[in-house]
Amino acid sequence: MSIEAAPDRPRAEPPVAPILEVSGLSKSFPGVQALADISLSLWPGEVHALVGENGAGKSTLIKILAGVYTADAGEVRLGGQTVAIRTVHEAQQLGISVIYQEPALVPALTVAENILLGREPGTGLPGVVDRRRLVAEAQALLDRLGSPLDPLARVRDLGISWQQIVEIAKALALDARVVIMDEPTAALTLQETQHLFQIIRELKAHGRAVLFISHALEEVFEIADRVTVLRDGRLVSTSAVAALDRPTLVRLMIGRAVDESASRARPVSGAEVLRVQGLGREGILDDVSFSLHAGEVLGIAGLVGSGRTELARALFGADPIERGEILLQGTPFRPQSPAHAMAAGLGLVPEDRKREGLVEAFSTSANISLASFAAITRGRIWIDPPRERSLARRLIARLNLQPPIPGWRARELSGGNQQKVVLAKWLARDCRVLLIDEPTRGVDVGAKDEIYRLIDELAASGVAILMISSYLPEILRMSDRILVMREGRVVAEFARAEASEERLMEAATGGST
Amino acid sequence: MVAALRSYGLLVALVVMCLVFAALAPGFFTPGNLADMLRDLSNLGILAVGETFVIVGGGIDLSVGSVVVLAGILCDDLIRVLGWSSFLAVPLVLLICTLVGLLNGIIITRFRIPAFIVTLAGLYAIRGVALSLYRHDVTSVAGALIADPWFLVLGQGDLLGIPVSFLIFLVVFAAGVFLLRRTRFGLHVYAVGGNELAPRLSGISVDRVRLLTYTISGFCAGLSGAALASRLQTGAPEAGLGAEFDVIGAVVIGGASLLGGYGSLPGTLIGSAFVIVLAKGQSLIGVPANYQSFARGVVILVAVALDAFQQRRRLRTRVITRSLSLRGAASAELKEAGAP
Amino acid sequence: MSRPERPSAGLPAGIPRELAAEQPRTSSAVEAGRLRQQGFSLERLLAQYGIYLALLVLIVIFSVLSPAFLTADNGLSVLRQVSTVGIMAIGEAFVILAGGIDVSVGSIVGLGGMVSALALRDYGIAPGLAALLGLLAGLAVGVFNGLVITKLRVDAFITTLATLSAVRGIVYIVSNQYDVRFPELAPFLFLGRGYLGPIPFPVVLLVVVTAVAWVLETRTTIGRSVHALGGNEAAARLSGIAADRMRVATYAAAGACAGLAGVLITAQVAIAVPYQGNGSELDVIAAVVVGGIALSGGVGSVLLAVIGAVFIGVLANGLALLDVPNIWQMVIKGIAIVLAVGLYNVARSRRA
Repeated sequence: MSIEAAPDRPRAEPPVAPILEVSGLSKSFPGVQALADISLSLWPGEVHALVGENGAGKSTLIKILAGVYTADAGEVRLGGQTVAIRTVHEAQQLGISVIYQEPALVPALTVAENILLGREPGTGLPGVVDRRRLVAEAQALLDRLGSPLDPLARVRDLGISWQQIVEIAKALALDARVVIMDEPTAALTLQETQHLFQIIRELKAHGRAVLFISHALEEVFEIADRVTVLRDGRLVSTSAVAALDRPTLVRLMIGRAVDESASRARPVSGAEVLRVQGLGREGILDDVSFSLHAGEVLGIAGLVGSGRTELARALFGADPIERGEILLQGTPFRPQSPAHAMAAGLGLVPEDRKREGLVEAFSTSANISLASFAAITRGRIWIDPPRERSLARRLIARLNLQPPIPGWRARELSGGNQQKVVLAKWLARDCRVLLIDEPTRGVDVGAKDEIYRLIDELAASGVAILMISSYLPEILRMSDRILVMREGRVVAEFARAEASEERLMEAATGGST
Repeated sequence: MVAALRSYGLLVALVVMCLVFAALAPGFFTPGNLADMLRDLSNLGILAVGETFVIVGGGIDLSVGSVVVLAGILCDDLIRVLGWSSFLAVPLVLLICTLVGLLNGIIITRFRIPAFIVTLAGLYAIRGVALSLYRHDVTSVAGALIADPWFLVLGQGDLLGIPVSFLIFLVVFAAGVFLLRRTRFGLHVYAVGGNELAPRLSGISVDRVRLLTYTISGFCAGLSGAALASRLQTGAPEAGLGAEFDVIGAVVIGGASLLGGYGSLPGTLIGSAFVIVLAKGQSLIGVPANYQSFARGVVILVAVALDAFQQRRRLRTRVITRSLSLRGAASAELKEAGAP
Repeated sequence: MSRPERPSAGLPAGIPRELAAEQPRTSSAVEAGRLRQQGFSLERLLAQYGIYLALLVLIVIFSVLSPAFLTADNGLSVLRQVSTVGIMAIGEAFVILAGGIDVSVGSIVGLGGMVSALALRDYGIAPGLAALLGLLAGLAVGVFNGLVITKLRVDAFITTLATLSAVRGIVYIVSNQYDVRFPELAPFLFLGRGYLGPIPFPVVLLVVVTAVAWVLETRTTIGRSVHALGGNEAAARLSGIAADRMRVATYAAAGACAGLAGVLITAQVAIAVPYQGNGSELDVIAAVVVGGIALSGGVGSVLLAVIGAVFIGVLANGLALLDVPNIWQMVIKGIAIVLAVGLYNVARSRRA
């Protein structure tokens, strides 16, 4: 389904050409087609939203336009001219400004100095900056945006919403024709969001095109003229916002036939193993309560930034807990550290295996035994190589690691096998509660299936599993119950039978609870 | 805000320290002592100006002490042993030291070797070269000390009661402030140290900026070394020993962060004054030389620990939500705003 | 008004590390590296074992250039000179493997010697105990370093730089800036001057410490933890490794090794001079770096540090035999470090 519509233009004017045209853009990484044949047009003065699930390809598209990635195929035209964007600086030169979630500003310098960084107005003397003109030009830009920001304020004293304004002013200073924003409202309060929208309207009035990624669908309806939906790397539709309503948008984002065939027959779960009550941490988690049973797979759905990973880390003792309590098989449990949580029978497969899961310089076997020193040593200190080897071989076989060589360097394993190594590390421990964060991110199809089977086996053997995933079909396939988190809170709970991708997405993006 | 507090706190601490020493040591406020302290301050201050550029740019230069020694010995060789005129010798020495700084910078930026390794190696290599050039065995017609009157003005002269070296320091300081705050280059130094992405996006050559900071540091070290040699009338090899600690201590105490992107020259000035007054005051009240090294280490440790503490407060925890703090009212607003 | 969060490594969230490079790299290149066959790679071989080759080459060159070089006498002399730096390099290797750095070891050498000398002279302590006290003094400083770095989260380099100054100060204080002569008790002097058969005792000690360190590193969970810390601290923490405690232990080891080295030097020259060990931190770091241990941590092994120390010792010995002025040796050391780091960097980045 593809509805192509020009933005609403109430005034009678000669037809304007699009400022940015993307056609046939494709980008693949080994094992995954991130973008396939994307075509999109942006008109000057248009606010265009880009929506889709996690992994739909939105970031990849942005990064190509920003000069971070190079597309495999396809063409980008700016102002009618075909352009090649090879570096971030080139993108900026061409008039594409990207505002990331973390501002790229110099904290010690003033607003004015940041806005005009690299383009400071000079005086007659070489290299000397004309301060007066610097401030004046910055002020002029801020006035155009209608922002009361003081050009002499130091960026390090500003909150993130003000820093975003500085970034936008910078974009204006560079005469950016296209301003791209990556989830600009993620860290803003309601009032700050409104302020930002005001600024965006000013940009519109000045004929800039704004492209922004958002997960907050109500924002899409409030500020955007058109919206493009990506799904699995493909363009599903581009349409005028006015022509859609929320349920339709959600359906476009999901659009899959729900995969019923993979629902498993699993015995009814056992006793309650973990009960969480009122878990809270300032600004991150708010009053999270749920329970987890032996042999159960509890899926945690939600968008990036909803607090799921933080929840897992808090349960594992990796992050502090400020409020609330946890009961582990009836006894109060306050994890002080990962070692403490591990002693209590917990395990955590982290979200980012490269940064937190594996020691890439180590061999497969050393990685597998990293959390099981007691099992491979005599007296907890002396490593017993035969025991380590047998542990490694056992798990390599169980997980079907390729290549099945204990000494193989972890760095040289494929993504799927690396993930299996991380899982093996925890399997070596006989955990009673296993927290898994994004079990199959960046994993090829074959390994994915093996991992699913493994999780099923674990659950069947009585392990209580908490599984965080951004991939809805996966959640639906694997979970017995599903919690949806949003903005640090649990906003919905579903039993497997009553859940659907649409309902999950609704809850995750802030629909009716 | 907190940084301002720290600078004011520092100023207050400095004043308090001066008063305490003045009370404990009668010789503190004599013109002779003050002139001495100003000369000490000039030596350290000139070094600290250069080091500030490097540290704000996110690097570090440990070789400055050795360059000071190099400069002193070169001056000694050229003026005393070879009989050159100061007007020829001093600029040449400055040029050489500047090139040494440039060399540091090239190795750091081109070969991507960590700055502290390169400058640590430089610390020893340069001292080695300098010592090998030292002609302590040769006594010229004038004797074992440098006697060229023009040269001696540098470190020993007075203008209207103010030491010439201090005036030179003021000039260097003013030039440094101008460079750091008023020119594109200066702004770019903050950018390079403060956020690697921002300057790259703006097309600023991060390498070139860093290179220049090390070059400036080399120049300042050379100038300071020449002034010191003039004051001591000899290119004494022990002269620059430990200078790198005092310099880094002065810069960090003055508010710069070792991670780069923060710091100021006025702050460095106060930090330098702090170090000098502390050292001088200790000598005056009879603290044995032994303890000074210890005290110096402790002071730097405390300053840096405070800096680390401040850095941690600068980090915010990621704020995920807007409505966590505005619960009930917000959801109503949200519904109004357009959620269907 | 809150301060901005310092972006990790200067990159905003969501931007891959490719951005840090000057040229744009497609991530397919990065991916391709992972799928490559793990097999023979010249660069990796050189990065891991290059020092052995370099040592061999050096020995050959010097043997040719100087007839006095390849004699048993000279060999033992070199080893004796190398033994103190070698022992220190072992401790430093642990610190660097775990991802830290310790530049205060030079001052700790002075402290170790001074403490043992004073124990003998002023307190009439038995020689064995006096030596132990020297070692423990070094251990204490190491623990202090480790605690400041892990609990106060001060940068390791600056902390140990400050400790360098402070400890040197302590040495000057307790010795009142005078050399300390002590009763020349044979058991104590044996530590520095004695022989076991034809082999000088310090060399024996070096071998013993190396052996202990090697066993610790390769056969115990301590060694595994140290490597994990240096390889990926976050993953190590999330695997239950007591990161802070391990780190303090590495600094303690470095301090103890330096203290021991100080005792050996003092025992050999039979006098404790206040500036003993001054500047030796460079020798130690040079040994570690030249041996092939990466400053970023996680790469290399303790044995390499010892070989690196031997390399530098051989280099110094050869140059001395060839009558190269003493002062130039400093220069050469500096150049060797920079060269080594540069070459290893190149070799490591090429194979990535």
